[in-house]
Amino acid sequence: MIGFLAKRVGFAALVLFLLSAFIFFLFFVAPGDPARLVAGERASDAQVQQVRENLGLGKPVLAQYGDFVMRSLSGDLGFSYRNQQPVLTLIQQRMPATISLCAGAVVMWLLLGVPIGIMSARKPGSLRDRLGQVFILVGVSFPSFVLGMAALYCLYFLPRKAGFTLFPAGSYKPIGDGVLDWAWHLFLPWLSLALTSAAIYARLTRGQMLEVLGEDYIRTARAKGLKERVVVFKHGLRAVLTPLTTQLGADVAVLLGGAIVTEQVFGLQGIGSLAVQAVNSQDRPVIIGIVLLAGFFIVVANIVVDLLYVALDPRVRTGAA
Amino acid sequence: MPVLEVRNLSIDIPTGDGELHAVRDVSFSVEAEEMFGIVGESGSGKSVLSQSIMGLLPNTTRRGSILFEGRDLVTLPERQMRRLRGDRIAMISQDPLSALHPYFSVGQQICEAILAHRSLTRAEALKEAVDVLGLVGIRDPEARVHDYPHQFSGGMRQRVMIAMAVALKPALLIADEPTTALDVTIQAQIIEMIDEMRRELGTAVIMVTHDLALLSSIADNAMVMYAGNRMETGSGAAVLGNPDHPYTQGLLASSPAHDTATGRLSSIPGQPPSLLDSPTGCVFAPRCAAAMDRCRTERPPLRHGRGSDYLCWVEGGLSGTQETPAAKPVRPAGLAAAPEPEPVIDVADLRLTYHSGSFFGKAKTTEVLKGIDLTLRRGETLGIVGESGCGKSSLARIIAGLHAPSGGRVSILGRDMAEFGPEDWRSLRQNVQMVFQDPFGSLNPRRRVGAIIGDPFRIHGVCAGEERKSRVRDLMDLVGLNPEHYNRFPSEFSGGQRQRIGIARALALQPKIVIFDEPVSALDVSIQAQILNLIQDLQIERDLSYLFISHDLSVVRHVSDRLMVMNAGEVVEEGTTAEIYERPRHPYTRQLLEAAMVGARAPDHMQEEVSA
Repeated sequence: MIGFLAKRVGFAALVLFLLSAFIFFLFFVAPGDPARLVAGERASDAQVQQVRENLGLGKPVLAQYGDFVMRSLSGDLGFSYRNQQPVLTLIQQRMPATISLCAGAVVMWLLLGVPIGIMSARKPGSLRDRLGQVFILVGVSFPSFVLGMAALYCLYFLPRKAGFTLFPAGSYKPIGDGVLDWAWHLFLPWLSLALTSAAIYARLTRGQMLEVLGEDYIRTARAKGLKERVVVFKHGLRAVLTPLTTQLGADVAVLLGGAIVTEQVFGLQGIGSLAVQAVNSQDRPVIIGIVLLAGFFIVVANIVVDLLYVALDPRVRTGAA
Repeated sequence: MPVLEVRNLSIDIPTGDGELHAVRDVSFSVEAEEMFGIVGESGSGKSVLSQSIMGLLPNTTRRGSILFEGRDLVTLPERQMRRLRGDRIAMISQDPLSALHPYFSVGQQICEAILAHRSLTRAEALKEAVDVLGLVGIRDPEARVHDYPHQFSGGMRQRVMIAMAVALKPALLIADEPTTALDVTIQAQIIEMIDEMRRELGTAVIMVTHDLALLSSIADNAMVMYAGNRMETGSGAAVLGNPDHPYTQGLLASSPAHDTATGRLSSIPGQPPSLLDSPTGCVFAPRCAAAMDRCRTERPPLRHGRGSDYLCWVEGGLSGTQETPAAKPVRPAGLAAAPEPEPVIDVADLRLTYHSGSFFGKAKTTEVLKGIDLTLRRGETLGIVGESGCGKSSLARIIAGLHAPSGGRVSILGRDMAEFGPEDWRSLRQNVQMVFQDPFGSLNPRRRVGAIIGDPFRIHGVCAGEERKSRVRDLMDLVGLNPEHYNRFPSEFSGGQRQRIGIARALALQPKIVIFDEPVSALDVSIQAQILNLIQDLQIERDLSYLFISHDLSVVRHVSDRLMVMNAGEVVEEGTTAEIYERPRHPYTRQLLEAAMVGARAPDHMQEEVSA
């Protein structure tokens, strides 16, 4: 177990290292002069040269990369070209909004998608199943920014026109200022982010559940005289948890790297909007920092999912053939 | 009073194509401590009937009554039915691997059944689970109760299923093909276990199976089903030993176990009818040799025979109604007289080893074949018998050139496989063909039958266009398929017909050697006999050499000249079929034979009666 974990962590570190090298050299071959950007349009060539020296851009690229790796290992991701703030500080400022957005959306789509999927699978072809299928089709078909706009229009703009505020247009209030206020402000972003994913999770749950409910062990559970509720939610859902976990691990990891569209639509100051700003201003250190952060979440999520398998599946735990 | 009394039960299942009449007007009763057998081929309605008694088929229409301990289960509300399930009526299903939930320990699963019906504490339920696991012969039950299903072997899992079923001492136990998925040596133990349980607990048992031999040795009473109808009911000895109904007689005669001389098997011609139709006459009439005009137009009456009731227009002890088996075709005299035909396959010290690395970095080595020697001579059939995992299929794949061995020598038609060039491989692919076990999985469902059978011609560039088409039709005719079905898809054929497709494909390039890997184990007895006869006829007609792999001793015995018994990657015994059956030397061979004998007792007894 410990050996397994050490191996996975080592592998994750290797992935991050390769990722950092890739992104670093990608920028080196990309056009554009960051020193000129930092120094400003009207700076003289000498000033630009000075800036280049200050930023360490005059050294050979391998040396630059070496510096970068050494600094990163000590937790220093460098300074933003744009406002001279440490990249780590920027990320730390933006992280709470992204985490809040992600956490609420995940809870919302699980609470919405999984029950709809189960409900559909219990009676395939029934009215409930058809309604579920319509939900899935609509949710999957609409891009999240359309759903976000629609949510804004119906739940913010229309009530405002009628003279009251149902939900704010979306802005981030720290959870420390009050959980209700936090949730109220994030409700619309959560909804727009969750609807698409809820549809995907409903479809996944429905498919998996249909398969599981046809298994022999479900018949055995019924033959034991268990209540239908127990058969579906204990025996059925238990078997569906594994594929759901796999999907969830990947989705959460991607979201933590920044929900770009949703953050833009609702004007949230999260990682996603930071990434957009950094790309627009060619702020290399920030872009590299965000890419590494996203990569970090992916590899961590993979390790967590593997550990969850061990907890969920006794065949993994006890080493089945 | 009987524990269960089924009266005039009909079960219809709605499907996209219409109502499926799965069970039609079936009546029978089961007393306490009785072993009641329900026999039938696939599609006979036996499984639908047994699951319907449990109330596990919610979307079906049931007419008639199922009286259990004085209550009619057909009209019983679901809530009360649920209280009976698991408590008064329990079930053991076919495949113990898929019937136990992989994520819960066996103790949790047994406790759950107990706690669903009794108000006990968890600890008390666990103690009962341990007791009942001990009862079914699980060693060290205190420790093993916490293990998960995958940590048990197939036979042990089935014991766990039995433990779960008998934990609450039900009045009725329904065992649906409880041994079909198990190896032959394990089968006997499980049957004994069920038999023991019913005597000990006074439980009535309904044993649903397609295996006549198995049932004949243990059933007090039996019912034979065909296309949803009860064809014959009566004492086990009468129905399975001395039947009156032409179908039952045909079924018994087609069983290779029943045939001692390696002659042709008698078979029931044709296919079972579609359950979507509602025939006016007898359902068996289209396949019955004794059918009269009346059989086709009017439903037959229930007659009282020598020891059974049967549904038939023909009165009194029928005899010789099945297709009388033609004498076994004799081999050309010249060949038989030749002292020793030349070997076509010669295998020496064949080894196969797998290396697998684990997460923890320790490499594991699995020896699948541990030095096999084998010779197949021209025109003979070598049977290879063994239980699952003994390496028999790996051996076949290596000989067919589908897998590389780790060591040893394989020579085919006098050429060493290790020295094969591209040309040799091409000729190997022509001369050695395989017929696979699963006629459903081994044919591409999206391709037409004509294309599947014609593939070898196309791949080897033998012929094309009209010539290919006409040769494919000839092949279809040869294996007993209607050449007009050239453009059909595999799904339009039954299991037996699909296996004929597989054989036609294998014969296309006029091979010298055909390897059969469990060719009939997925087929019903009456169909199995047709295929075995076909395989034997083709051998004589085309001078083929066969390697015949099976776990079914009676099938292997029927077709083989010589036998090889394999266990754990080794050949434990080899000899002529007669030698091995009459004087098995190795303990494992004896064990296999004895296990198969569990079923063979009654047929012997039947032969005595017939000759008397």
